[in-house]
Amino acid sequence: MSNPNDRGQQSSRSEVAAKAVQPHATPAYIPVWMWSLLTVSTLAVLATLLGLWWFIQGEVAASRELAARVEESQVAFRQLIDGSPNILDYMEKHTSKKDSQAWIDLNANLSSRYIKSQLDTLFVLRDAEKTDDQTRVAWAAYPDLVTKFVAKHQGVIRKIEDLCESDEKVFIPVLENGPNTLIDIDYREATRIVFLGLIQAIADRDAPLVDRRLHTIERLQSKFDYVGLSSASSELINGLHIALDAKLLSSEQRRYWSDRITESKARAASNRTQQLVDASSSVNDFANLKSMIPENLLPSMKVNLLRSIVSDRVIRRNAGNSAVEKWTRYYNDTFDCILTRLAILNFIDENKRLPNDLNEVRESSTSGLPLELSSFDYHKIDDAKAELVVDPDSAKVESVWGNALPSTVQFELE
Amino acid sequence: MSKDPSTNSAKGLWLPPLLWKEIKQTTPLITMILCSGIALTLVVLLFEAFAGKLTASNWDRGHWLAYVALPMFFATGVGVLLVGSEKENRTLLWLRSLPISSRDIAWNKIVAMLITLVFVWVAAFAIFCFAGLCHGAWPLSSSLSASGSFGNDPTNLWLLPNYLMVSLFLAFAGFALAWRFESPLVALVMIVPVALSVWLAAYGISELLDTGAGYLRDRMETSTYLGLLVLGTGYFVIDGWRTSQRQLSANPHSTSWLARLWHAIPWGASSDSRAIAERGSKSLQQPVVTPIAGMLWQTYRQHRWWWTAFFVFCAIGVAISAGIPNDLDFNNRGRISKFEEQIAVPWLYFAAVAISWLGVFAFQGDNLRERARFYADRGVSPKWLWVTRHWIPILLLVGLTAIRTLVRLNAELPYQSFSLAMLVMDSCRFFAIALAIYAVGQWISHLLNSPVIATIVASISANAMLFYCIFALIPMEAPWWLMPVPFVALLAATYWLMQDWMERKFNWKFKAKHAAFAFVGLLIPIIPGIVRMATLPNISSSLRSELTAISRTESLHAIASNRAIREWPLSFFSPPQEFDQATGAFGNNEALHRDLRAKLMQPGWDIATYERWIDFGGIKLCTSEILALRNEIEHLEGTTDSQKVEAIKQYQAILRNLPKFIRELRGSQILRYCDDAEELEIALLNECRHPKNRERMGETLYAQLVQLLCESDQRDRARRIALANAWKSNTSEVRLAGKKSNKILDNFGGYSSYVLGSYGANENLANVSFITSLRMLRSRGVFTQDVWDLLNLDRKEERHEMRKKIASNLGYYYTPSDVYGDLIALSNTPTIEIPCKHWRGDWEFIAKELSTSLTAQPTKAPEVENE
Repeated sequence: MSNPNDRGQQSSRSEVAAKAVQPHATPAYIPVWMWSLLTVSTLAVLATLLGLWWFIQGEVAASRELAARVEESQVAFRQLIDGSPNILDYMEKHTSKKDSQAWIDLNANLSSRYIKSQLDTLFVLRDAEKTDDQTRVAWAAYPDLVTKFVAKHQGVIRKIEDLCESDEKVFIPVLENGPNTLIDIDYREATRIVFLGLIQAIADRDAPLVDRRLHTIERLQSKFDYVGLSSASSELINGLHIALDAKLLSSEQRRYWSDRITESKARAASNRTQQLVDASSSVNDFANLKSMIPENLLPSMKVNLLRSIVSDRVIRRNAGNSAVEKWTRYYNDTFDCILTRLAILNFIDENKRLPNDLNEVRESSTSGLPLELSSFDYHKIDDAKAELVVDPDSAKVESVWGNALPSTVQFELE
Repeated sequence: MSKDPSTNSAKGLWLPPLLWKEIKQTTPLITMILCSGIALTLVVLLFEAFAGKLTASNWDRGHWLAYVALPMFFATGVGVLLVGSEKENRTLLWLRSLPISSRDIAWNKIVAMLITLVFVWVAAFAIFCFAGLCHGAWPLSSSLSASGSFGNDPTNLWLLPNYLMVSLFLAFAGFALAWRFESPLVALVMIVPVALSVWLAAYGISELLDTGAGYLRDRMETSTYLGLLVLGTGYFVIDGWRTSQRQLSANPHSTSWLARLWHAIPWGASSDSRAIAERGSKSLQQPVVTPIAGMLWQTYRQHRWWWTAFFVFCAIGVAISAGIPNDLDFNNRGRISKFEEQIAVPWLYFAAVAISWLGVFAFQGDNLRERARFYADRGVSPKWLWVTRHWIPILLLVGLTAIRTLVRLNAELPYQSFSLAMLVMDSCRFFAIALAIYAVGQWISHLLNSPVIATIVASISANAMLFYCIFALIPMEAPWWLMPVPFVALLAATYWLMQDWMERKFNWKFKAKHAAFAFVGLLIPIIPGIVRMATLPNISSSLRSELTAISRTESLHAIASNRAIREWPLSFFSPPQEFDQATGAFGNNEALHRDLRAKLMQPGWDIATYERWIDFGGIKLCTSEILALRNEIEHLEGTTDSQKVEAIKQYQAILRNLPKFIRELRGSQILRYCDDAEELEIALLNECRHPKNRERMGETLYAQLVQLLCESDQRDRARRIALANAWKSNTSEVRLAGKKSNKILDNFGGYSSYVLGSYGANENLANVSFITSLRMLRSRGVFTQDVWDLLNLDRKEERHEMRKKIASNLGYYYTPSDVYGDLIALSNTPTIEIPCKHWRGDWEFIAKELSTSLTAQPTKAPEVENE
C-alpha cells in the first residue's frame, strides 16, 4: 500500500492517472440538468453583476448626493450674504473699519466682570408670585442705584451714543467659520448700559436725551446685524413703554417708532431668520455627520445617517419648540403690545378723542396694528379715561411680564 | 449488550491511558477556541487602550457574558468530537477490541467531556479575569448598581445557571447525536435544530402562559428554558448512554425509531457493499458526461440533503428577518416586533453560522474517507474541482439574496429602507456578507482536516472576522472598497492550494501558504490606516531634545508652581441671588471695584495678586480698568481741570506699574502667565497708539512702555522657556498617567490640557478610531512643534497662514492676524483660554515700529506729572 503522504509518489500517480485517462476518454455529453444549472447560474451571475452595477451606481449617486447637499447648504447660506464667497468678504463689502478698534475697546471695557455683575444686579427680577407691577425689576425698584451707576459710567454711555451716530455696520475681525461666524454676537452689555442711561434720562425728564438713547438702542441692533435679522430689542420696547408712560414722546416720535416697530415686526415675521437657521443647521448637519462616523464608510451609509440627522432636526422643529419659532412668537407678542398702544395714542392725536373700541383704532390705523386683538382688553372708563389690559390668559402676558412691565396701560385725554 | 471486562487488573491498566487519549483528542478544539478567545480579548483590550477606556471605571463584571461564548462553542463540538472522530477514523472497532467494557469506554468519554468542559469554563473565566485586571479593576467588581434580586441584576449574573446548563445540554446533545449519526458533521449540524427546538419550546410555553404581567415574562422564559434544558440534558444523557452501549456492543446495528428513520432518508451514499455494487453497475450503464457535469453531480448527490436543510433553515431566517429596517435604532425597540427581536434576529445569526458551515461542507465532503485523493489519483483538475465545490453553494447564497429582496419588496419598511436603490444596495450588501462568511468557512475547511474542529472553528472565525471588519473599518478607518480583500484572499488561497489539498500534503508548507494568504488578505485593508498612523505628524526629535535641554537648564520651579493654589475672594463681583439683595450686592461690587483699582494704581499687581484673580477675570480686569479710565478721561475732556488731572494721574499710575508686572510674568516661566503678559502688552500697544494718549501719558512713561513693547528678544526667550516647561510638565504627567490610569491630564503650562487634546483631531471619533486616538495622543507635541515653528517665521503671509492653521486645528476662531488680541467678546459663549494665541501676531511688528516714534517730536500738549 502506498504512503499517502509521500509527495513524489503521489504526484507521479496523479500525473500518470491523468495521462492514462485522456486517450481513452469517450465523447461526453452535457446532460439536461447541467444545461438547466448553467442557465440558472448564468442568470444568477447576470443578476449579481446587475446588482453590483446598481450597487456601484447607488454608491456613486450617494456620494454625489452628499456633495450636492453640502453645496446646497453653502449656496443657501451664500444667498443670505448676497452671493459672497464667505462672511468675511461680505463684511468687507458692507461694513466700515473706521470704528472697529473703538468698538473692540468698548467691548473689552464692558466685558469686565465688574460691569457685567453690576448690570446683572440692576436687571435682577423679583419672583413672579411676589410681584406688584411697579417693582418687578431692580432698576425700577432702586432708581438711586441707577442714578449712581449711570453717573459713574456716563463716559461709556456717551461713547456708545457717539459710535452709534452713523448707521454704518462695524467690521469685526473674526475667523471665517461659516454661518456660525456671526450668530450670537454679544452687544447685550452695551444695550443694557444705554437702557439704564435711558431710564435715567426719563427720570430726569430730558426729552432730547431720551430720543437720542432710544435711537442708540435701535442702532446697536443694526450695527452688528450683518445678515439682516435685526429686530427691535426688548430694551427698546420697554424704553418706549416707559417713555410713553412719562409722556416724553411727541406725536411725530410716536409715529416714527410705530413705523419702525412695524418694519421690525415684518422682519421678524419674514422667513429670513428661518432660512439662516436652516442654512446654518444644514452646514452643522455635515459637521455632526463628520464627527459621528469615520470618513471611510460607504457613501450610502453616510447618506442614510445624514437623512436621519436631518429628519430628527425637522421633527424637533415641527414639534413647535424651535428657537426660531419661540423667538418669532416672543417678538410678535412684544410688538403687538407696543403697536396697539402707539396706535391708540395716534388715534387720540388725530381724532382728539378716545376710541370706543380697538376695531375703531384698527380701521383708522395707517400702520402696524395687529390683526388679532383678542389678547387685549380695551376699557373706555369715561370720555377722558381708558385703559388697555393684556388678557391674563393670553400668551402675550408672558412676553409682557418677561419684559418686567405692567400689564395695564392708562390713556387720558388731555 | 455491554462488553465484559477481562480482568480488573487489565481494566486498571487501560483506563488511565484511555482517559488521557480522550482528553488529548479534544486538545485541538480547546487550543483553537482558547487561542481565538485570547486573540479577540487582546484586540478588544488594544482597542480600549487606544480609546483611553482601559480604566477601572470602564470595567464591569457584566462583561462576563462576552466570555460565555468560549465554553458554548466548545460544548457544541466536544461531544461530537469525542465520538465522531472515532467513527471518522474507524477506531471504534479497535476500541471494541480492547479488554475494556463498553460502559468504561462510554464513561471515559463522558468524564473526559466534563473535565474538558470545566477546564474551558475555568479558562474562559481566567481570560475574563485577565481582561478585568488589564482594566486595573478587580474582575468581579461592578460599576453597575446590582440589586441582587433575581432578574433585576444589571450584570446578568442570574443568567449564569442557564448558561452552565446550556453548555451541558449542548455537550450531551452532541455526544448522543454523534452516536446516532454516522457522520460527525451531520451530528454537529443536528445540534442546531435540537437546541433551537428547546429554545422555541420555552418561548412558546411562556407565550401560552403569559398573563400579561410584563415583569414576570423574563423570569418565566428563563425558568422555562432552564427546566427544558434540564429535561433535554437528562434525555440526551440517557439516550447517549444507551446508544453508545448499543454501538459498542457486539451487534452495533440499531433498530431504534430514529435509526430506522435515519436509514430511510438517503443522507449520503450507503456503505453497504451490495448497494455500492448495484450503484456501480448502474452508473456504468449511464452515458458518459463531461467531467464538470460529473463532478457537479457527485457533489450534488453528496450534499443534496444538507443543502436542502440549510436552504430551508436560512430561507426561514432570511424571510422572517427581512422586515427589519436597515436604519433601525436599537434603542427604539418599538420599531420592531417582539417576535423580530427575540426570534428573527437570533435566527438570522444562526443562519449566518449555517452559511459558515455551508463553506465547511464545500471541502469536508471530500475530506471524508480521503475522497479528495480519489480525484487526485484520477487526474481530476484541481481548479475545476474547486469550481464545482463552490458552484451550487454560491448559487444557494444568490437564492437567499433573492428571497430577502422579494420579501423586503413586500415588507412594510420605512421610506429610507424601502426606496428601490436602497433595496438593491441592501441585497448587494447581504450577498457580499453571506459570501464573506462562506469564504471563511471554506478556508477553514481547507486548512483543517477534522470536520468537527473545522465546523466549530469556522463559526468562531466567522465571528472573529466580523470583529476584524469592525476593527478595520472603524478604528483603522479602512476604505470600504478594500473590505472584500481578506475574503477574496481566503477564496484565492483555497483555489491556489487545491492541488496540494487533493494530494493531502498537509505539511507545514501548506499551512504556511494558507497563513500567508490570510495574513496578506487581512493586512491589505488596514495598510492605509497603518500608513496614516506612521505618517501622523509628531513633535520632531530635534525639538524634543531642544525643549528638554531648555527645561533642564532653566529652573523647574515653574512646573511645580503650575498649579498655583488660588485664594478664593470672599465676594467677587457676583450678582445677587435674590431680588432683595440687590442693594447690598451693588454696594459690594462698587467697594470691590474701588479696591481693585486702588491696588492697580498704588503698589501695582504682582504675581501673587494676579494668581488671586486669575480665575475671576485675571488680566482682563486690568485691561478693562485701563480702558475704563481712558473713557473717563475722554469724557472729561471738556470739564474742569482738577477732575481731568486726577483721572490722568490714575491712568498714568496704572500704566507705570505694568512694565514691572509684565516682566515678572515673563520671568515666571509659566506659559499662561507669559500669554497674559502679552495680552497686557497688546492693551498697552493700543493705548500707546491711541490719539492723544502720548500726551496723556507723558514722554517718560510713553518711552518706558515703548521700550517694553520693543523687547521682542526677551519676549521670545520667555516664550520658549515657558513652552519647554509646559511641554515637559505635560509629558511627565503623561508618564504618570501610564502608571495611574485614572489620573486626568489637566495641565499644559497653566492651561487645561483638554484644550489641546483635540488639536487637529476629531475628538468625537477618539473613542472609535485608532488614528484619531493616536493623533490626540500626539496633539500636545504637534501643537508645541507648530507654535515653535511659528516663532521662526518672519514673513507676514507665512505667519498668517500658520496662525490660521493653528486656530483651525484648535477648532477655535480667534483673530488670525490681529492687533486686537482677545479683547473682544464675540458671543455669549465663555471665552476658552488657549495657549500662545498672540504669538507672532501683527501686533509684535507694530510694537517694534513704535520705537521709531520715540525719536519723533511729540505734538505740543500739556505735560502731566508722572507722580
